[in-house]
Amino acid sequence: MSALGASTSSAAGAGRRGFIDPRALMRIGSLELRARVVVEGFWNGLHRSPFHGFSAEFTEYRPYSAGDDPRYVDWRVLARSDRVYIKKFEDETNLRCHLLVDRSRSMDYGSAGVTKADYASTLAATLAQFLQRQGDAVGLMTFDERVREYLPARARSNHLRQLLLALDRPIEGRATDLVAPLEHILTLVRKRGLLVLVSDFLAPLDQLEASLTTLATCGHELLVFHLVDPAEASLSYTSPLLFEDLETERTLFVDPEVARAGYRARFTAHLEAVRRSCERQGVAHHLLSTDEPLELALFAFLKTRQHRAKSVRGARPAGGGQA
Amino acid sequence: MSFLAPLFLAGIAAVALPLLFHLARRTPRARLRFPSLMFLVPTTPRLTRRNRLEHWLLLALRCLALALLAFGFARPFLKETDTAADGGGRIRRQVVLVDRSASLRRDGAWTATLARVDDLVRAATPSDRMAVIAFTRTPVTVLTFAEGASLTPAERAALVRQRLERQPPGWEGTQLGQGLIAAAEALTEEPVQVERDGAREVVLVSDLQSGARLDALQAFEWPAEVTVRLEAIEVRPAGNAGLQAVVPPADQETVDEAPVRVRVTNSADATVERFQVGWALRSGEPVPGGDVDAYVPAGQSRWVTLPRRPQAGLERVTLRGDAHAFDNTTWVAETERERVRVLYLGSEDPADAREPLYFLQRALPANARRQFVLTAMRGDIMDTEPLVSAAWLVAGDAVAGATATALRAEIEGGKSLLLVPKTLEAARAWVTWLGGEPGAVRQERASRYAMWGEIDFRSSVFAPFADPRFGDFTKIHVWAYRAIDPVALPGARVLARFDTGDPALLQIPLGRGTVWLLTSGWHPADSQLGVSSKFVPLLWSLLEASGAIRADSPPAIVGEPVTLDPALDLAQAIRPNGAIEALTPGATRFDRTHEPGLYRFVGRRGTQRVVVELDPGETRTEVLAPDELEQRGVRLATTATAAKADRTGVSPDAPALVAEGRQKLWRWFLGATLAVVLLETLVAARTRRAASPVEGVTP
Repeated sequence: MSALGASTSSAAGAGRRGFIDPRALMRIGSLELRARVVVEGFWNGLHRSPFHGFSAEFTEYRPYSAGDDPRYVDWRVLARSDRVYIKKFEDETNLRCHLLVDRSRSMDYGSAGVTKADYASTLAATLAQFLQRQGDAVGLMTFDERVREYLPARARSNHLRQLLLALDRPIEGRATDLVAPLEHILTLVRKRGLLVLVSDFLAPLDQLEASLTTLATCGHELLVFHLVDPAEASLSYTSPLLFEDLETERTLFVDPEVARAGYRARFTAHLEAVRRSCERQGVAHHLLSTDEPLELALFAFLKTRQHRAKSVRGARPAGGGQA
Repeated sequence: MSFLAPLFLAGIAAVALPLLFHLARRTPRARLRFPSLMFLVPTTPRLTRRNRLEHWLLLALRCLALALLAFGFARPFLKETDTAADGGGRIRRQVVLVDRSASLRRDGAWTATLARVDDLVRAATPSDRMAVIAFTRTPVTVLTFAEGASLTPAERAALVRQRLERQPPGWEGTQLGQGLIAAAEALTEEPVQVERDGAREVVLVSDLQSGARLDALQAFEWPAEVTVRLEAIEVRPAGNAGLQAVVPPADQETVDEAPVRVRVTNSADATVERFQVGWALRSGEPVPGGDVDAYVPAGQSRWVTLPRRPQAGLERVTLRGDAHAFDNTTWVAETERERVRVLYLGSEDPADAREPLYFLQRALPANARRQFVLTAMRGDIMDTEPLVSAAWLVAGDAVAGATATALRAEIEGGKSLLLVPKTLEAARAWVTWLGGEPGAVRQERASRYAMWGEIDFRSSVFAPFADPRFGDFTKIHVWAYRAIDPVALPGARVLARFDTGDPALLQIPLGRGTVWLLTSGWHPADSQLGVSSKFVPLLWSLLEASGAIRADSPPAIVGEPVTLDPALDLAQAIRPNGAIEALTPGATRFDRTHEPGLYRFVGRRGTQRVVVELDPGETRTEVLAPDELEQRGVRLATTATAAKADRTGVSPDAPALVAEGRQKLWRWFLGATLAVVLLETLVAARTRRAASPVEGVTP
């Protein structure tokens, strides 16, 4: 619980002002509209923010000087202002991002009007729309105990619609397997790119670290959004209840007053295990509570990307980047 | 309190179920769907005394609802009635209603009926009052209550058997409604001391064919204290087909005999669907080579057209391929062409297209049924023979002298005369002949034309035109007519008037006969009537109203009276079996149609042949649904009671059944159950609201 509190409270405390409450956001029926609302607000705020976009990232204009490659002259600026400028880029290749979204039954839980599945879908849709606005290619893989749907990364405008449709489908899975989709994506995605995994990680973690290692070895950049419901984290029920597992439908009589302490300890240990596995493999891990605004996730996403861009830039020899 | 079905009281044991459920509620019912149980460990439920005691009101209500339901199903009735019915020396009254309709002529049906009646009569106790009624179209009492009271059951059985054997099944249809009414009335009218009034029951012994008539029950209020027990006689093999003649259409215009058609009906429980229909000799032997195949699915009927009679005199048609022969024969009377003599009193040339005679002879064509013999005679010729032999008289010219006297005698004797005076003089002469004032007649010539306006469609002449599609006579233009004041003619009735208000057609009674007076002729000089489409129908309508031609006799049903033609002066009836009966002079109906076949009525002026058929309902031998009786208010004994009675021959539960049926206490128990269930729902809803809403995901 301490991990959850530490990771979310600072971000939430700093950024909740002016953001949309997830419960209010989920009242919008259309997934596309929800994502657009988040992205529009975020996009407008971006101008005032210190963050910049990433792939094919434009960094600055520089006046043309003799010997510069005329390919990088900004012809529009020339046409408008009759001055010759050269555009400078971080990276000239477009980003290929794959969103891996957990659609197992355990995601169909929500204590405050927002289920983890809705939150995950909206988060994935928001990221997809955001990336598409930047001209990046976005793909999607939904999974539970097996891979349900796979859409390869594309940058076309109608691709977003297919993606949203896949995210809007009802939940069918009975269990969660975190290893199979990661292994499967390796066989499907040959080019290196960004993989964003959105899940509640309510599954055995035995093979998770091994899969993360494989991905890192293959050169993929991995970003993990670990979703947690507040009630799930705290077990804040008062009366004795018959708990029914959403995935296995197994029932268990539990008195929360008695079981709370042990539950929280085990739950926090599980979260910590996931975080440590990610950390060891250099995977960015973001713990998100479903009562936090989605914009925070976007900020976390951009922050991670920027951090990585800096580290890449730092690793390159001087004069790197675009030339 | 006693119970008709006490076994249902065992259902009270079901009150243990809510008790068990309430005890089982020690484990929480509230269920929470949770993402994963991997971090949870089970907790042992904590039991408290309070847990077991809560919701005691719900428990009580649920137990009460089940108990009430069990009581209701046990069909309770009040004990005092029960005690009296069982041991109070009450007198049970029973009417055994025996069906002896034509369908009981099937093989073995009557023997089985006699045996069943015998069992029923013997099974009655000496104190039981019993009567036996047999019925077909009409009910006939076989054994009265008074006769039965003085005999032992064995003596009753012997007497009933003896009497029923003398009355085997007839050929008549099944008026089941009439039979049931007679039995119910016999039961209600039989006097018994009030304190000894026991069950009253009708035991119907019948093959329960669906063709049985129940119409009479519609207007009868079935007595509440009388129940009906059905004792169905099963006949093997099931299924039956029958044959009925189809009357050819009356407007057959061909001179040749119309094709003979018969209808084959197959009962709904039939297994055979292929039959042969053909002409048969008087002995019933089929005429070789004349069979027609008929395919009739079960529950349907089909028309079959027969080939022309292979030889003259064949009048019997038989159906072959059916297991039950009683309804497999029908009769098609060989029609004799009727000769109708019409006398026209006038001097014109029959070939002159300007004269009425020309149109009259063309309006009376011959057809398969009748041939008109039209004779024209001048009115001033002294010859009364044509007057006497003619069935219908039409006069254009005036008559005089002895002819006028002879004509009056014929009309007063019952004949009819149609007057069509062509001239003012002729009209005045006829008015004088009719006893009127000649001054009341004047010649009218319309400036443009006159039309038939006001028509009395209630008169028999214009009744066929009453339908608005046929009642428009305004297209007939009339150029000239003889205006006659109807007041001047004694007894005259105006059937039609011109638009000018003057009479167009008058009906004047004369003795037993009738005179019709058309004030305008149908020939072109007077009007367009002769070339109008109304002319022939009007003439035929006048012919029928005058009795000169008679309508065809439709086939009658066995037991129904046959209408006799008074014009034929019939004296003898020859039954299908050849027996001859004398008819009372002037008889207009013949009631003794006891068997199907061809009846011939012979008179001085001709012969009338009438086919009498079996009731078509007798062919429909599939079993009648008991619901049909219940829908008409008949109270049937329950199946369980009937089965019990079947074994013992009597119904020992009948008084209890009657008491229970009268009191209907189960309704109160059912109503109380519903009320308790409603109360339980309300209490449960309140309890649930009071409890914490743990089913939701709100922590």
